[in-house]
Amino acid sequence: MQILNPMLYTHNQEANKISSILLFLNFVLNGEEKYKEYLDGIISEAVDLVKGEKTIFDISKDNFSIITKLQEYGQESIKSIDKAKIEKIDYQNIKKVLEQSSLEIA
Amino acid sequence: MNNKLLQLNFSQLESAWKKSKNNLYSDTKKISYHKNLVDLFNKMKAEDFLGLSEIETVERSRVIDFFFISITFLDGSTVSQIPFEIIKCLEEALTDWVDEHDDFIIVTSLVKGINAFSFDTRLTFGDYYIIIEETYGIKFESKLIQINVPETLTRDYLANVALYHELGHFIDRKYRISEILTKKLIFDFRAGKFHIKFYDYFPFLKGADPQTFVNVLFSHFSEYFCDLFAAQYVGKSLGIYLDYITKGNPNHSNSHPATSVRVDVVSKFINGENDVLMDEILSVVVLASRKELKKRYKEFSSTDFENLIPVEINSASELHYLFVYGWNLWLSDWNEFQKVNEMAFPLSPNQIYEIINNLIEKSIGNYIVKTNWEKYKDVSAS
Repeated sequence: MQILNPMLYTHNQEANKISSILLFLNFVLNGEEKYKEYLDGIISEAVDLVKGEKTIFDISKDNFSIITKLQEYGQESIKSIDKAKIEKIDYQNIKKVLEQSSLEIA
Repeated sequence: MNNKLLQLNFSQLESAWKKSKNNLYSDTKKISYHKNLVDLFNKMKAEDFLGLSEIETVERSRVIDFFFISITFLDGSTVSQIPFEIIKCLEEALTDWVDEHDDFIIVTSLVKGINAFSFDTRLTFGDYYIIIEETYGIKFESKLIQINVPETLTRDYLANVALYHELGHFIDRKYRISEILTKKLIFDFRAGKFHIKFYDYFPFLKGADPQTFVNVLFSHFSEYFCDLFAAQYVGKSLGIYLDYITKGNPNHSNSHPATSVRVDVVSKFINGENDVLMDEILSVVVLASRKELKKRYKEFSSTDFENLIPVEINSASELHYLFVYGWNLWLSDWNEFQKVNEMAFPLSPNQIYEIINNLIEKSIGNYIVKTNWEKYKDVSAS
């Protein structure tokens, strides 16, 4: 029924979501606190998912595609993150993972 | 990104906003949303765009995108434009599926094209609200659920059964139902637990790795779910219309399953039959949303429309059944109209069309007035 092709639409939505998160990461990597809390929430859930402390049914549905993408493409980087102390290198690694995954959906 | 281009974009917005800033709405949630837009516009107007850094420019450009989409939909949802009655029915369905339903506003954009029903997720699920709150300190209490409605069909309640399907896309996206179904199917396939009956619904998977078709699978799951979502409220009516507008296409496309298969799944759901695909969707829906796909309309029997009067609706579940009632009447032989009203000549199809749609609209309108009155009565009594 949709006028918009759902596949193309989902693809655009996903690309849009990744580009927002990359923008937020750039702010944090520039030393700004803005968006840090929001990003940390996403990263914490990705850690929980990778470590099996949460399932895909429990994670935030708002950031579902980002969290599952981090699980899919960044298992090793995510696993090593300390949720209580997320470091600059962690944000950098996440940025790399998302940039890589966005190339694959492009 | 060039700051001068951001200024250009904001100038475009300023011109568009001149037309929309005086919009009038019928409900407080839209009025509040609009007030936030006024506030946002004034704060942006006071900014020096040329002094922004590269990432701030990208950020502001996103806010302008948000503003443009918002006014596109709010322009179609003013007092004079909004198809008020159908929105009420969709709001009732939304209440069934979203506990925090007050956080959302269903808005419509009237679009060209007779089959151009669609759901737009950009403002519902995008990160715009976070950017605006962090950058300008403005918090939008409600997000927009944007539904595109063909402008020629806003008051066609037979065709508007499609809007229940479109609302289904919002529910699907909110709970990630199709995404989970797709991931689960691929996981089950790799674990050797793939049910052979699934080939009936996804014939393109024969001899293939499902991962290769991940996007097609997602789209097809999405359509199946939305059909079932609509069927909860309007039974088989959507299938009847769908079969016509897709010319009964027996083949699937990359975005949609074959219509005949979709109609069959809905039929099994309404008839309470078992089905591998349906059972899979039903179980994932419960896990993902804590809600249940089930028949949510209440059948009634009436000859009111043949007597040219609205039906008295007593509950939301009867409200949804009005669409089925209208479809049943449209598909009947129409003799009763002539007989009951002692007409010398039979009514033309267009007259029947107008009567059914007007009476559905009036029945919904009366229900809205009645429920509002009961609400006010309760408030003033307490």
